[in-house]
Amino acid sequence: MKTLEELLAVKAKLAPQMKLRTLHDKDTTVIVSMGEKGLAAGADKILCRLSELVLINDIDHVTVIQSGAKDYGVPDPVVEVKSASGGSTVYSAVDMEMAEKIVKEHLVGGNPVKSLS
Amino acid sequence: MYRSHVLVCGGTGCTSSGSKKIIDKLHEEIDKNGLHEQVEVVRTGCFGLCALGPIMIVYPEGSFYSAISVDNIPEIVEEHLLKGNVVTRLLYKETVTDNGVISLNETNFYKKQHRVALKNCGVIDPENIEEYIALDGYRAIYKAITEMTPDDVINVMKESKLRGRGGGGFPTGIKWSLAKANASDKKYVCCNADEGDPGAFMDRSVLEGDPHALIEAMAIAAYAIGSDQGYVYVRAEYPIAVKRLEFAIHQAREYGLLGKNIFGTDFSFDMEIRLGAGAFVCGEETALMTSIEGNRGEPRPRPPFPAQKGLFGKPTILNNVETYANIPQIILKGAEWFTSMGTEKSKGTKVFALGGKINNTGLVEVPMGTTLREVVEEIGGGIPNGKKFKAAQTGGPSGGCIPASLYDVAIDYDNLIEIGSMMGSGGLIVMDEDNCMVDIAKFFLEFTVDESCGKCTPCRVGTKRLYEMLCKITSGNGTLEDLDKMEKLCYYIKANSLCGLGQTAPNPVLSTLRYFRDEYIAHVVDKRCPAGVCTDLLKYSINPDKCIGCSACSRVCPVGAISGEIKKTFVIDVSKCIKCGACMTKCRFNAISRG
Repeated sequence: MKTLEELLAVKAKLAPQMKLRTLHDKDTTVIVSMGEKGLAAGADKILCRLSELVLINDIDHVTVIQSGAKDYGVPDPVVEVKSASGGSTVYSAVDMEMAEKIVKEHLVGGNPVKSLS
Repeated sequence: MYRSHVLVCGGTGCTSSGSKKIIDKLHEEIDKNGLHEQVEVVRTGCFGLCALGPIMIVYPEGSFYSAISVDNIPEIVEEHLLKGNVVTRLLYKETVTDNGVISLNETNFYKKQHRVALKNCGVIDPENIEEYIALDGYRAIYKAITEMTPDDVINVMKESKLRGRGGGGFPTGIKWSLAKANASDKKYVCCNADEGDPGAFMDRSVLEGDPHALIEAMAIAAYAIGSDQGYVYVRAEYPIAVKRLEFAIHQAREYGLLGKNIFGTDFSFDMEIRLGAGAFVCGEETALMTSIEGNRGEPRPRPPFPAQKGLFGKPTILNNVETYANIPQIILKGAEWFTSMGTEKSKGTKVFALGGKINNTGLVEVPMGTTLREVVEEIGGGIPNGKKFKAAQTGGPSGGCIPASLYDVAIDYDNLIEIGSMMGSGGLIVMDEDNCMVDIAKFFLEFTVDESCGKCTPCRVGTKRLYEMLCKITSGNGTLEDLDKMEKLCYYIKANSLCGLGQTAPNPVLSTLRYFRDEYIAHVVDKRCPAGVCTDLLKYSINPDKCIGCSACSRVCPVGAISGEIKKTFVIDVSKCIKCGACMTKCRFNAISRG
């Protein structure tokens, strides 16, 4: 390693992943409901995708966590976007495409994806 | 990319309570549940709350599992990592409130802490240089050697007012400028990782949790004074620390961050480890360097100071591990950032190793100026079993005790000296009402008598005589005159010893005499040990009015000193009694008294 660029390249490679280990107060929490029903519907894959998108796009005000099965009364996988101020949006039957839309429009853009909620 | 990181403490404390087996089991269960592409297990350094080890933190939630065992792992993996149900029963109970689980940053233990030297401990994998780089590691050395002159570096260090964390509190920047000013074909940068104070383990924790911070800081120091070779002197009793540091040095060389022409500049630096055998005196700078040279670890008079003639007769700087751990951040964030923390003359933070009669045994880092009360009562969780705080010993065998009347003193270098103690490396041993202060002084003197290297008479003979006087007092044969003689001897030893070991060895005696003279007088005049510790002064007896003759005491007595008939008063044969107190603990009728 001879240059700053090389050093920064190593940092860039790991930095998104290292963000998982911070506990700053995040103003938005994305909760993916797991449990047996959630898992059967592929909630873990949605969780991984949401987490990855948030980390690699530096969406620092958001944390993506899992929860146990919650009875939302809607089809799994269920994703809830909760803001610290109290607002909450529930998305049901989320697939990969929807996950990307939620990140782009809701988490980055700040507008709940009305058509999906 | 992983969605969750499971951090398990791999420091000495948690390793000895089985964290390695926990890590193995985690891998096994994670594989079994098909989570190996989603969840990463990381072995880190110390989280600080050693009393509750083994400790494991699950991110991004930050769930803090404490005192876990291998048997808990299948449940945690299946319920929490797979299904999302945090196993609240196994969490650190301070994080579980009526309103749900709170973040560990909100717990009493972490709330008042401010981590600078321990920034990466418990956050990164110490054996992965890339994780250190990801958190701005090796940026400071880059900045120093490409954007700053050696004088710039020294000026930042001077402006930061960083003082040596090993105990003396000498300004680091001044130390460096003295070594830089002495021209020589060869200069050395040394690190004191000997950490001899019983009860202190912050240096070990930095080596175990963040070894690259030390390597980077030593390289910065070398650049500043014009050196190309470093030595870390670490005791062989720290096998995990030695192994991780060795590994880190090896990795840094592979990445070109140690060796020739670092970052393509003219600056070259490499370092080696030297193992010490654990002698307390080798923490003294001249003895340490003599030991690195391959000789018996004995101190020599100063001057010449190491900055003039140190290791192998060449200009040398020697700093402590914790001091170094602050340096990369000072270079990156600037002196002003550092001076914003702490008190007027003591800037930054200090790491303390809490031990003795305290609930949260472990490692804490607080801004200078935090009060002893805050450290013990709030962060340390207070004294176990509802007992009362009596005193705290700072600075180990070289320090002194701080009594309850000074509980609210703001801890910094100068305040501690003023009240007759010293910062030392930051061991903080808490004592409660069951500790006899004369016995404590005797304990520390016994240690220094053992550890005195013997080179100079005041220390070799003086500490031994001091110890004998303390034995005389605790065995009930002391006189008031002895107290005065002892005090005189203390000042003599302090004034005449060759090195820091002897110069500070009388501190435990002087400070207990100063704050707990009444206890000494009780031993000498009343022939009584108020705390009930000094066995020669104790006498156990059975109160006939309270004894119901159940025989419980005689059955528990290990030497058969108690006899009697059932339902009649029992008696203790004082000639056989070894004063262990087992009978008193056993008696349910408060019939046994200690006088």
